[in-house]
Amino acid sequence: MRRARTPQHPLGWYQDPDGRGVDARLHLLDRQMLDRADVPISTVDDIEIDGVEVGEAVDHERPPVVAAILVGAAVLPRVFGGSMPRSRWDRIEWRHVRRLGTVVRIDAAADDLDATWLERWIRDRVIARIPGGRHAPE
Amino acid sequence: MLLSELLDTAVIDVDGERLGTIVDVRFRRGPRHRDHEGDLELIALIVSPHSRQSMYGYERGRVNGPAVVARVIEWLHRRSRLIPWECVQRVDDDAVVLGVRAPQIPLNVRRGIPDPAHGGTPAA
Repeated sequence: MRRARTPQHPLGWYQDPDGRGVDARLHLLDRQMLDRADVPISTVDDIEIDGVEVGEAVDHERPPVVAAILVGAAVLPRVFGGSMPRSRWDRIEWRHVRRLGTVVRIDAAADDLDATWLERWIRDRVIARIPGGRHAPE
Repeated sequence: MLLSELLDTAVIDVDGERLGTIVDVRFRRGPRHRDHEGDLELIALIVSPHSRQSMYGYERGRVNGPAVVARVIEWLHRRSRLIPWECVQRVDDDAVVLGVRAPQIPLNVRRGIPDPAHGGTPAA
């Protein structure tokens, strides 16, 4: 399909005529993240936005940008409401994102990320102690 | 702040009128930094006066089938609009308050933007 590159009306830029727009719910939330070796890390559970805070006036000199992707327990407030204390956020900085497409490619190894600690802990402390849990299924 | 704190929040106009709830947030992709994705800058809020559900991509006017699903979602989100981030004055716990009256920007890229100088008819 041909897309108009330049909108006729200046406000037309908000309608995303050139496909450079990213809608959070549509293009980001719940997308799969893969590491350098295509190992699944997790899905995008929430997004941290830098440059705007609840209860404060918006500073239009500094437009808000995506600072990090949150994973793990960050999904709980989305399901049950409430908010998660900042100390419990498992973050993957936006500067580690290599490409945002149908999957989000992260420029890091899954095992090196703090965000996957729970998965590693369960693998080493629980799964590994089940007989046959230390090798791939045959 | 978190994205989940913005989603499903009410939007209040300058005169205290409720415009709807935020069903999605639109970012704009910046230029790529060598082999990394560019910054995503928040540019607009997608506000629906009737429904809190996602629009599943139908709002952009580029997806229109199956026709029944498209019609149902269009009806659920009738009179949905884009609110430029520049119009937002303050983000509270339970509402986003506008400081400037927002222009009428329909979500569908095929629909023109009404020109207030010409009685609200879409610009050519």
